[in-house]
Amino acid sequence: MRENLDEQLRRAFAPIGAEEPMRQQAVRAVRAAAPAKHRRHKLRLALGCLVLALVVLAGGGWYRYLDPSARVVVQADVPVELAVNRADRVIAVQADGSSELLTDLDLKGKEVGEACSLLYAALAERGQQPQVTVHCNDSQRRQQLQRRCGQGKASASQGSAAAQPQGSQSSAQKGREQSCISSGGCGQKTQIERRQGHAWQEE
Amino acid sequence: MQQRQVEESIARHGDTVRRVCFLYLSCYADVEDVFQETFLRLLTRKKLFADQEHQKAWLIRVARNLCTDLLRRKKRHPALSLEEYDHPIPQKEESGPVLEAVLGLPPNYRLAIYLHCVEGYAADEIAAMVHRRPNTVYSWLHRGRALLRQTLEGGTTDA
Repeated sequence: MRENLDEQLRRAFAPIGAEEPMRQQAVRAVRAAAPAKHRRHKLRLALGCLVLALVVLAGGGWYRYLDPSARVVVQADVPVELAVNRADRVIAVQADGSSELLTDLDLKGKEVGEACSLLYAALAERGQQPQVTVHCNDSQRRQQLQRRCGQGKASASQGSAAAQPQGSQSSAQKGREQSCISSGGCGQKTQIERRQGHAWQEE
Repeated sequence: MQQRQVEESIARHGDTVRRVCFLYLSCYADVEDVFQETFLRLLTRKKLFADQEHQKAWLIRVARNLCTDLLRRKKRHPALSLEEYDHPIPQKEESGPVLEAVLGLPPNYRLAIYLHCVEGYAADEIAAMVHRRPNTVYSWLHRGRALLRQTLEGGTTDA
């Protein structure tokens, strides 16, 4: 009886099927919808490319921001080295041996003149007379950075008890700084790196 | 899915989808709509099918869901347009009473009976398609058969 019922059902459903007009209508609908689907795909692809381009640009910008283009070494009892990016921002700070000086100072992300000013003030409190060395391949930029660091030093000196007017550095000090300016480029290892024997590390 | 693949699918599985629509809908225009919509859904599907059987099962599930959605919508908004009309289904004389008996069953019984007896799906497979437990499908099949037999035997006796 069961097989008989199954057979009856199969025979009953056999003539029912998708009529040709119904199939054709569905095919037409699919063909009409397909280009829209392609358009959506193209739009998504374009959007994906745009996002990728933005990510690449942002990554490049971030890399350029983190890429040190110059190094400023403040020579004191404990030399402090500042890595400066293209935007003249301090991206890393390193001190030889002791970081006691740097624990109180947050120099990262600051403009180089401001960072130097803070550093000079801290060193002046310790009774030290720092000297500045700027390392950069671009001589114009090197001079510019040197000038900014000098301004920072002057402003720090003005703030301290032993204040000196801006640009009134002694000729001996100027001479020392000038000699420092021509001492090397960005590609050369600085004194701290040479001494420590490791690459520059971000603080 | 590619347009060409969908067209192939219409040729291959069109009858099955049409029969599923037949089990639920009496209005020919609705059947056309659901039939078309089922394959449009296939066009927009991103995932690949394991094989043709997987695709067929997916189409049955989509067609069934679209039919039930349509019926629910109609029940909620019982408006009958002038365009809606019942299209006579081509039937052979000897299969008439059987189809009538099937259509007299509750919708879930109809689908279970059709998928099991005509398409050859096991109860587990049907359960996966309709998101029910296999035991529920067994019950549908058992009760559906009983009702069918009752109807058909009663009809034969009466005739």
